[in-house]
Amino acid sequence: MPFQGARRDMSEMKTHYVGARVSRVDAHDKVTGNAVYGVDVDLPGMLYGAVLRSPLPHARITEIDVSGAMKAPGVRAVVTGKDFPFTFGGAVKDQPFLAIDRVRYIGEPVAAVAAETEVAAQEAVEKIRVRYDELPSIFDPREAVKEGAPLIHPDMEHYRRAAHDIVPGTNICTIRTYRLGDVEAGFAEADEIFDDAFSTHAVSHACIEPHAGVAQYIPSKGSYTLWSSTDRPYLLVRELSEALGIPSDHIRYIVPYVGGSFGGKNTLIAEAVAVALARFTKGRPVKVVFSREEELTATQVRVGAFMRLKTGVKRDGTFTARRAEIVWDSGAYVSNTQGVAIRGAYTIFGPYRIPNLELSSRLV
Amino acid sequence: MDIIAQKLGIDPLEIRLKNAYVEGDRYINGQVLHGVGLKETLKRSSREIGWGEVKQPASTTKRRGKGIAVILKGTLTPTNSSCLIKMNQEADVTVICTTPETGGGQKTVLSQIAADAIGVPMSSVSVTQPDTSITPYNDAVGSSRTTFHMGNVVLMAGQQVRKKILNMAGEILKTDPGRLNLFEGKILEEGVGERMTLKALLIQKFGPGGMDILAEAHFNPADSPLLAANPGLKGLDARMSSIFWMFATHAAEVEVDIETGVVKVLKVAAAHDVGHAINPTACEQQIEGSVIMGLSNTLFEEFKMEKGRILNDSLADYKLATMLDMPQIVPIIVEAQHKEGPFGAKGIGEPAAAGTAPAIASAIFDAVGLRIKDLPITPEKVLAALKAKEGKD
Repeated sequence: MPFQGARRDMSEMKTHYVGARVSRVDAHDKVTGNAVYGVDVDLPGMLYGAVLRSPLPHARITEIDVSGAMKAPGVRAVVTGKDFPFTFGGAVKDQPFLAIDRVRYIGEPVAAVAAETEVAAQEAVEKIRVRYDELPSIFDPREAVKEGAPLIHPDMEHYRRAAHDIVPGTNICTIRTYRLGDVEAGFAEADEIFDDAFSTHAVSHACIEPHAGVAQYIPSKGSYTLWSSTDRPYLLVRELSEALGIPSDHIRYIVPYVGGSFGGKNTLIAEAVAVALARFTKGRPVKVVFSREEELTATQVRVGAFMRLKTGVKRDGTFTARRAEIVWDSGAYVSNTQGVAIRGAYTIFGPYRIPNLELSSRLV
Repeated sequence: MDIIAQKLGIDPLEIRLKNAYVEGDRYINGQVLHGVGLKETLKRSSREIGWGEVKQPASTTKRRGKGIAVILKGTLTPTNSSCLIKMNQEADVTVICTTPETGGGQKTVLSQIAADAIGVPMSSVSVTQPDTSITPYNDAVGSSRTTFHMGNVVLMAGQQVRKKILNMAGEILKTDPGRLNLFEGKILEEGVGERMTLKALLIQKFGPGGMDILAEAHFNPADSPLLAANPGLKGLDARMSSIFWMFATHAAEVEVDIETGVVKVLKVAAAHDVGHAINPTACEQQIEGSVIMGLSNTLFEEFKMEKGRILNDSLADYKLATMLDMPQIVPIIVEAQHKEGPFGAKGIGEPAAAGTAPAIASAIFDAVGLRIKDLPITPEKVLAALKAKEGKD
């Protein structure tokens, strides 16, 4: 659409609130406990979900026996990846709602139970028996990036994905390179060359409110309603629609107050389990709330990275060239790291005038 | 930058000032930069930390040092935002939009902008809960984009509501609407004063029935001339521009205990170019909270992993900073007005989370001559590095 500059004329506007230290409009609700967050959502007929998680970092699932859980008191549904074999992901649809044929991290959801109470669901989960065949694991992206490393996603090039570069036959799920000018010429011109390696580590977003979602499936319409504290409901509607192959007007996302997100509530986490369970509970809503242990071990993190910066400078402190190489640790699934590996990479050069630069950013 | 400064014998602040972007410089893809308050953030935060002041004499076991670090962050561009504004016959305003309140004060900032765009008391404005079956499209709360993108649509829709009201008032008062203004729910005429209240206007216009004034707005910066970059760029190379850039400088003062390796952060001065502070307190709070998060990440947080298993899976063992670890935090608002942001505003959501780590690392170098280049900076790491340095010296 044509860019409208006229609306920006604010010079005639008298501002009364803009620029003022106004109290937050949500302060009263939050301080009095009236605020409803994702964890507080409570609906009639609601069931509670619990998750069975993989104890192994990389393994094939050879057998799942849910009979014990199905007989447990209060249980209304038991679901595995075979019952709900869908994958999602913003950039790459590599992540299953529930593990399908293999697990790729300790804590990956393998099965889920919906029951009348949280306790009943947890107890039923413990009755599920799974057999695994371990596969070789890699824990360091610098190892994963090497030739011959075991492949976490051998079929990566066949996944539905956005058109960003991957390197088939490897664990590199995003590669972004960029050049400006000629760095070698720049280094040749420099008085001093600096070459340093840095690394940052993965950290938890550590939101006060854990991941929480309630999902309801309406069998007569084949539609889902979700109540979840996320920071991007429309984007998740699209993700769910693409993952499940249903039209986006069949998905409704309602967002209560979010108890902190910090980039950690931007994909289907608790919702993935809630949706998979809700599909089988004949219209009863299912609530899934993660414990702090699950928060810390089985959700997203702010990813860590290994970086190398080579810089050429003149004696007077001006830059001639900079080369940056980054290897980002995506973990078992791409999730929302692709954007970070692309746009986060650009700013490694800093807000400085540098005439020649070269970037290689790989997400592993 | 610090490593370079040290080797060349240039002051770390000076080397940054020398190379820092200014208004009109080109980004790495050729985009001409607009709204660049970087140098002011460098100057103000370094002044606040007492850069260049004579160092306090060291005690036998503690050493103090100062460090600065600069932050650059853009926003995902282009993205989409929409909103509807509904004013009922009681002059209550509802901003109908899909903006989750994640704690950053999104609802508050949008209420402020709506109130001023229309000319009503802020207490009469409410912002709906996001519900994708009702509230119109918005990409996300993230990438520090809400104040700019949602702020713009709320501003535009609010201005439309105001225009409709003043046209109605002009009709009823038989005056040129150009001479009328709406302020705090009162219709004012130039040179005359208050003519009528907004509520009275609505009752007169709509009768006892119950009617609404509606307005809608959409915004996507894709066609902005500010995004123009080097010609001939293809694919992702053509999408590196950001509709606004955020700049900041963090300056930290630390005290390192050379016997235990414990690093105590005494003060962080965090200067952020936000374009224009819609709510200065909210900006300061976002900066403070982000500095705390950055400090916590840098010094305390670490996943202890063993063959893919996280061993410290509780908050008792995954250490977060607490009130006892808090330094003095001085948030400083710098405003390099952005011509396409609502009231000149840009964003503040993310940048401050990034600056504290490098500022602390540089301050540690200033204190004890150790260059630690990987996070987290734990007492064990500091002690080991001190011992290694001792061995070498």
